[in-house]
Order: sequence, then structure tokens, then C-alpha cells
Amino acid sequence: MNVITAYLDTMFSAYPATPRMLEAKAELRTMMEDAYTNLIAAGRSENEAVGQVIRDFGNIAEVAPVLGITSEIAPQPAPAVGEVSTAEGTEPASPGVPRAPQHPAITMEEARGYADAQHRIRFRVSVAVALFVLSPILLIVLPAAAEAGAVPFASGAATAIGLLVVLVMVAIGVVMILSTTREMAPYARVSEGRFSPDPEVSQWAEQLAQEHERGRIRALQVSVVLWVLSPAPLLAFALLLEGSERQGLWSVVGVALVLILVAAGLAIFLPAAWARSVADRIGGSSSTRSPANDERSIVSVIAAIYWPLLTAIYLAWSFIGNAWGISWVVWPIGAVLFGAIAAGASAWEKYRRDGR
Amino acid sequence: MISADAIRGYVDLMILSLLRTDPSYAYELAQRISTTSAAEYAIKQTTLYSAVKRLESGGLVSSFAAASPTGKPRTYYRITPAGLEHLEQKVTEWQRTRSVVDRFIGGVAS
Repeated sequence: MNVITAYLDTMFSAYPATPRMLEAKAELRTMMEDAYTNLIAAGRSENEAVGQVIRDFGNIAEVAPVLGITSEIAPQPAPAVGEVSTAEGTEPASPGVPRAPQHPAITMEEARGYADAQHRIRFRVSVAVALFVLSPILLIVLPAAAEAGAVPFASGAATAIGLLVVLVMVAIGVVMILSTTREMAPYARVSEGRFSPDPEVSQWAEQLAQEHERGRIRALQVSVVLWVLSPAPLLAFALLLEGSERQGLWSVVGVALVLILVAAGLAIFLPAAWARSVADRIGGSSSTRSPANDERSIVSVIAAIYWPLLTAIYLAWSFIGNAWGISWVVWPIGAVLFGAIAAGASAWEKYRRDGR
Repeated sequence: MISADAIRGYVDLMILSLLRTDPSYAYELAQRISTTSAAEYAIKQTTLYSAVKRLESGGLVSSFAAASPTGKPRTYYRITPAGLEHLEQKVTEWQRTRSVVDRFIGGVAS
């Protein structure tokens, strides 16, 4: 039953919650519950019953005009209730014709192709993300190691090597991400949400996600353990080596280990999450998606300014203040701060959206 | 299976005919439509719901709250005198439509 409730919520999310619309939702819900109960009583499995009920649901776009309501996302003139032809008893063929949805509905072939493509590119994307996370490691470790005399070159050279490695790794990651665009290009309509969800396709995608859910949860568990444990070496080095002259170098190694563990967690989790994200993408209606896109875009605009700025601060502080030993703290502090800014921005966005 | 497009104009007619004998609620109507049509036509729930609401706003049916045979609260629909009149007109119209169409397709083997 939860699936049915969630399905109805999604279908109705595009419409304002007026009393008539809520009434429609309640009555459709009762109809679906009755149908579900009957199917179960007739000996169908839970999955079959839910699938059947959702297949029999129809098209929500049919209901709204009758209630004199239009989707707030796609404002279209609704026929006034009194004008509906049955009232005058004319022209039997026109009533009930569903209006064209905002975008053409997603087809099963598109959904399958999109899912296949996501499945093919999952490792490339995850490796690219892991590379981005790993890229500053040498830049963090090498100067400190050079300072401590653990590597045979000067700290200036170490920084240069570190920077070069950052650029090379970021470049490789970007090339990998770009290489996936060829695979995803035929499904741009799906990735960008320019489609109307189709109940059958959503059901199929949901089933696909369910099939892979166990693997995803296991990967998530492993990753969460890695992420939670990631600062452990750093803390251990800091506490165990207190007062030792090598503490500075080991703290830097600890930071590198944080990044390695975080990257490992991402590399384990991301490839296992593809089916879920396919289902989320295909199952959501275009209306629930567009505000989410806005929200993501605000955060990404902030990120586009934030990270280069942080890099500039790091480099300026390090070079001008010759503070390579300590300036790495910019990154953990910056990352936590970014999390807070991103959360704040999406909360603000949500508040603005709800207040509308 | 009959396509939803072919039958769409006659959903109102079906609902009014079903309500002619006694009041009913949406899910029961859907079931009776699929039973009566011997599963040749399965009505989508949104199609049925919007048809009923349209008939209600046109004064052809009226609604009232009552408990279903299982005891759950349901919105029941009952045909109004205007609805009965409309149904008669529609039935006559359908018979004329059918006889005209039949005259055209008479020679076509089925």
C-alpha cells in the first residue's frame, strides 16, 4: 500500500492542494485501496496487485480540468466546469479527452536505454569522482615530507609536483566524465527531466531498483563505515605522536588517509547506486524534479565560486605566508563550511518554494 | 481489448445506465463496467473519476456519503431526473449512430 500512497503523492504533487483536489485524491485513493484489497483477496501477490492498480490508475491530467484546476507548473487555461459539454448534452466524443501532458511521456525503450547507459558508465563516473577527491593528496603530503626530509627534494619542487598531479588527476577525471556524455546523449531528454512519467515505466524502474537494492544497501553500509572511520588515523596520529617531532608529517599523512578513505567509500557506493538513481529519475514527475534542479543549481553556482576561491586562499596563504605545514587546514574547514552553506542554500530554496 | 479512445465518448452513457437502477460508488462502477464489458474494456480510474465529477457538476448525478457493504465510508452517486432524461437522449442518439455506422460497414466482412 505504501507504494500506492507514494505514487498518488507524486501524481498530485504538481497540483495545488485545494479542497477539491484533496477530495479527488482521497477518493482515488479509496478506489485504489479497494482494487488492491480485491486483487490480494483474489490471490495475487503484493507486487502484482500494486502493479495492476498502478496500471489501472490512468492519467492524472484527466482529472484536474474537470475540477477547474491546472497544474501550477504548467499553467494552461482550464475549461470552466460549467462549460463542459456533458452539461449541455452535446458532442459525446469530446469529454474526458486528456490534455496533452507538458512533455511527451517517457517510453519503455527510452527508460531501458537510459538504465543501460547508466549501468555502463557507473564505474567511469565513480572513478572520476574518486580521482577528484584524491587529487590534492600529493600536494598535501609532498611539501610536508620535503620539509621533514623524508623525500629528496626541496619543498618548492614538492609543491610543484603536487600541483602537477592535481591538474593531471582532475584532467583525467574530466575526460572520463566527458566520455560518458556520448553514452548519455540519446537520453538527454530523460536526464534533463523533459518527460512526463508513465505509470508502467515507473513501476518497471522501481522494480529494477528493488532488484539492486540489496547490493546498494551493502555498499552504502561499507561506505558509511569508511566515511565514519576516515578521520580515525588522523586523530590517532595526532594523539599518539603528541610532542614528537614527526607529528607534523604524520598529521599530513592522516589528512591524506581521510581523503583516501572518503574516495574509497565513494568508489564503492556510487557504482552500486545506479539503479536507485534511475528509478528516482524516471519515477518522479517533471514537476517534482524542476524545483529540485533549481535547488541543485543554486548549490552548484555557489560551488563553482567557492572551490576556486578556496584554492586561491590556500595557495596564497601557503606561498605568501610560507605556511605549507599548516595551510592544509583550509580543506577540512572549507569542506565542512561548504556542507553548511549547501544545506543552508537548499533550506532557503525550499522555504522560498513552499512560501510561493 | 477496446481502445480507450474508441469508447471514450460513451463512458458517461455507461455510468448513467449503471446508476439508473441503484446508486453506486466509484470503485464499484469501475468493476461493473469491466464485468459488464466482459473485460473487453477496463476503465482507468482517472477516466471514471473525472467522468463522474463532470456528470455531477452538470447536475446529471448527485453524490452522498454512505458506508459500502464492507462498512467503509464511500462517496455514492445517484442519477438525477435530469440525468435520466439525458440518458434517454443519449441512448436514442447511440442507436441512431449505430444504425448509420452499420449501414456503411454492412458489406465489410468481420
